[in-house]
Amino acid sequence: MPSLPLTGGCHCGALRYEITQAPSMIYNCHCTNCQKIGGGAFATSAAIRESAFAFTKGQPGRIEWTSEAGNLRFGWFCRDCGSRIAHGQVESSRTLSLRGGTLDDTSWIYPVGDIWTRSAQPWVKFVEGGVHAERQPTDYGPFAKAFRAQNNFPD
Amino acid sequence: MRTAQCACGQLTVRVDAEPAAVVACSCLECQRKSGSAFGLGAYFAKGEVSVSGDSRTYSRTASSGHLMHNHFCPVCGATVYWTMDRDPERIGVSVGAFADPDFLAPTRSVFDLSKHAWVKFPDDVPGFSEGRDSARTR
Repeated sequence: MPSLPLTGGCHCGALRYEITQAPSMIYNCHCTNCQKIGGGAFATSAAIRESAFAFTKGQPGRIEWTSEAGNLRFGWFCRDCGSRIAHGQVESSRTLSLRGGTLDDTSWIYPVGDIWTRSAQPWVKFVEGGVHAERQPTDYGPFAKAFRAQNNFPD
Repeated sequence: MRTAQCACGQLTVRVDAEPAAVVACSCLECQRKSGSAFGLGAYFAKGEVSVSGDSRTYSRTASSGHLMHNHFCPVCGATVYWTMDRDPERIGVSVGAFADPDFLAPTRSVFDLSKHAWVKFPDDVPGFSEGRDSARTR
């Protein structure tokens, strides 16, 4: 069982962060941008409150881009090793999409489902019994509900 | 001809060959680097690959004890390729950088000892507990 604060950092250790509130959901994103950023088949994204996130060591590099859904996004990455830590919306949505693999302890993570399945690598098996969206979900409710049901962070 | 590029597009790798291997690696370093549950690399001979654009290098000691050199884009951070002192004639390219939904499936999975239980590779993909010389898991 995870405990707050959650801690994590980049590959080389120059960036470290702390998260003081539980994520609202964790899912796998198979969009081509996530594939390029991480170099893998998908990203494991944790939705967290921007106000609950802080860097405790180092200053990240920043990149902005327009997403396939048309939103102006920003990303933080380590300038020494390249690891992408999190994404957010430039016009703040108050939510960050943290790249879950950067957490120190990922053993408790069980994604609730998969998004952007239309661009997934064909051999990837989606989370069994999970919630799916072919593109960007219009309603994240079912993802958040499935995450709450996992009860990773009991009150 | 296949082209791999970083997220912002300034660092590119062109390859005119099929990969010798496609490796899914569940080691914790690959999880951190990819922000995902495992890293995914396609391996080519150095002579088959041409690189253009600026990159920075992050070098670390791999579990084999040899250095590996990760080349990433200084603008967006994406690691596009890496080289290994253990096998200097080879180059690994991030599969995600090809952004090709029809890219070849993994030919083996390594570091299954830290693989997440919900990650399931196809049954015909051989698995190894650590590197490719370690005990088979599948």
